[in-house]
Amino acid sequence: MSDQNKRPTVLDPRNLSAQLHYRPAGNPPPATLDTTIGNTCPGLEFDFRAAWRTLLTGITLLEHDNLVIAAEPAYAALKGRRLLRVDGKPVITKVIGPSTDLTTTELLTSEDYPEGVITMEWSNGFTDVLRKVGQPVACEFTACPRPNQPEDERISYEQAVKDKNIQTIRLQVRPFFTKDTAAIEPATVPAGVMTQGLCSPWQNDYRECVCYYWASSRPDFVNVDVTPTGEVRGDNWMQRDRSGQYVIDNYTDSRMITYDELFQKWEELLKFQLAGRDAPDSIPLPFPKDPA
Amino acid sequence: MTALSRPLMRQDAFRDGRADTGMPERPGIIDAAALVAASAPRSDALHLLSVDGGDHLLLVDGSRLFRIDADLRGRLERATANGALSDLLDELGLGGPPLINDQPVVDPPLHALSLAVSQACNLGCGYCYAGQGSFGKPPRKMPLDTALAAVERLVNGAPEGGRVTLAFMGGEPLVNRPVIQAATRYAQELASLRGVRVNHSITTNGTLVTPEDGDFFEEFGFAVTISLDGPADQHDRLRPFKDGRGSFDRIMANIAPLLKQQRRMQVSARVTVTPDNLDLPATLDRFIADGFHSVGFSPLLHGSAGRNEMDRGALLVMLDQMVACGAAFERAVLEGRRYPFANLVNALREIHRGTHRPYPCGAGAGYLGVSADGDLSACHRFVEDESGAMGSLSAGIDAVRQNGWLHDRHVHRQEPCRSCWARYMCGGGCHHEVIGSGRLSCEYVRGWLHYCLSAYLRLSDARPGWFAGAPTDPNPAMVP
Repeated sequence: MSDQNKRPTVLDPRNLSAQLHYRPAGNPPPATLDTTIGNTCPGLEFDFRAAWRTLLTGITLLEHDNLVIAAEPAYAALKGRRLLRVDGKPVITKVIGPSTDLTTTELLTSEDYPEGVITMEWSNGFTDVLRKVGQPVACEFTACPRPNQPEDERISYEQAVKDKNIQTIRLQVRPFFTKDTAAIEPATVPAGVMTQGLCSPWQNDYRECVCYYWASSRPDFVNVDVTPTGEVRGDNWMQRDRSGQYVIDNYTDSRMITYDELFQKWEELLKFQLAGRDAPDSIPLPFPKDPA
Repeated sequence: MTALSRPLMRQDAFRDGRADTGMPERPGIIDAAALVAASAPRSDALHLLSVDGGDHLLLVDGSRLFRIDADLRGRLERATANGALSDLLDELGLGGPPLINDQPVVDPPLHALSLAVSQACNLGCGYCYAGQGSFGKPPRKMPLDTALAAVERLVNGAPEGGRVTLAFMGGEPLVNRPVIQAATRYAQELASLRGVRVNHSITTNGTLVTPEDGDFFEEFGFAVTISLDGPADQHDRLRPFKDGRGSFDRIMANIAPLLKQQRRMQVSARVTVTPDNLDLPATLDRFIADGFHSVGFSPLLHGSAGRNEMDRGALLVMLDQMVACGAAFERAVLEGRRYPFANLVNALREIHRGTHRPYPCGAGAGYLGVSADGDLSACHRFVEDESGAMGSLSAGIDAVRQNGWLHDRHVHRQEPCRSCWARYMCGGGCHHEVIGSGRLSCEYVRGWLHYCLSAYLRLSDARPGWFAGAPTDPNPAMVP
């Protein structure tokens, strides 16, 4: 807000570098692509994979797999099928790697992947298709699950060809980027999509993985004060009473918030943190309290 | 009428209403001196400008461009004056670690070589930095073995799937046509074996170009740059044959077939601007009408023995003329016409991407020059110049010299660049010109970039689709 606090400050990124590096008010420092802790899958701040799931009009793909998990009525028959190729390019590949005895290189299979087939990350599988925004492209799906075969079994394109288990349907490519910008198109990827699949941070992971893991978004030491003698006092975010005496984390310690309490009333116990301190209870929640 | 002959306008041409009406109504209406004043350095962290009545912020770090309101402009100006800018930028979400720090590039991979295949020339341009082609040494040609060794160093060092550029310069490179052809074919053979792509380019005076050269350049998709300094009268004064005859008519006759033939190849005109050929809009119109793929201007800042060099007054006239060319370009874009004014096309592409770099170009980093004797130098201009020596083909790149160069030439170690808002767009200016003559063109550069930023803001509003195309030049320069 402006210093008059009357109307929002206008700060509208105009060129691509401004768009890429812009951190809107309220977002934490790791909210940009170059600062985010996106070193693991799905990442901590957002799950980028989810952005690709609806790139093809009419169907929704699993974020990490070529399985169609939802479809609009016109394409209802595609639900449960597997996408094999788009516009002539494969979206799956075979996993080749060292054998378990490290003596050779071979097709790596497992119970989940009996044919050694894995779906490429969508950012790779869909790279070429992005050039065909707005156009229909040929999408090759498995025609039906093979007899006595669970729908989640991954099959290779070659096997599908051999079994004549392929059906080609033309689907239109939706825009991934808003035209002429570096912004992800909100009509394709609505707000919330890239965070909805993250592990529930307010539950087990947030309790177990303390601040050195959630470096960006989970505080540890809150309500910090420096006394006149130079002593630093404050609370562990997970401690029940805000005594100013930091309690070393141990989930068996009765002074700490329990798992169950976190699930039931996290917002009352943890408090929102504003400038490193518990927000006053007088600040209303930004959403209705979940009756559960 | 030039900028110098008109009375000076108000300090900020972009705030006094004339520029706020949008594109200049007639060429040159944005006064160069006013542009210089509007673009004067006031902060090392930001530059503020007004376009079409709206305020805009260029954040120097990252070349990030924002539309802002008058309220925020006032806050930024006050924070700059009070030394509180850093806090305000943090508050706005624009703080954080700098995108460019003091660290120089170290041991960069090689991606472009320029071969001085001929250190001899048939023209007698008075201003030639290369001492009329021979770089102050006896004229000579590059032996084939040397050219092939250069090709091997370039291509064999590239990663699979990589892209490199092999450039031919001189002197006049076509004096040594067989070596150009052999080196080009060899580069393609090696590259296809290694899965590397090679771009080819040549800068020629055009006097020796034949139709067969056109076929060759077309076959290999050359970027062909013809040095032309304007229409016949201006060009012939500046670029005569050694016996004094004019060269313009010969050149234009030679390259006429290439201009018609160009599909894979691109035939561009490069104009060296001196105080004697400052009518840039007429030159630009003429060469575009002739069918050049693009036309670019570059001021002569460091010539042989100081001849024909641009002084401050001439640079202000040039700025005025460049803005006039830019106005013609803006009109063409609005009307959907192609108008390949290379300086502005490149600058707009770079501003759109937000290019920011601590060097003006790749010289001494991924780009090196090769002399006829096989010595390596920081670029084609430093051939036979000890100050830019970088080793040799036989001994390899001198890493100590190269890393020392990259350390010393980093824009954070240049003055007065460190306090200039344009430093990551300009990069500190051409190393050869700066080392030879100092920084004489800073006002011009800032004025030009200020104009380019305003043109970007106008065109990205009016014709956003223009920016969606792929960049045309893989290694463009934002500053002429």
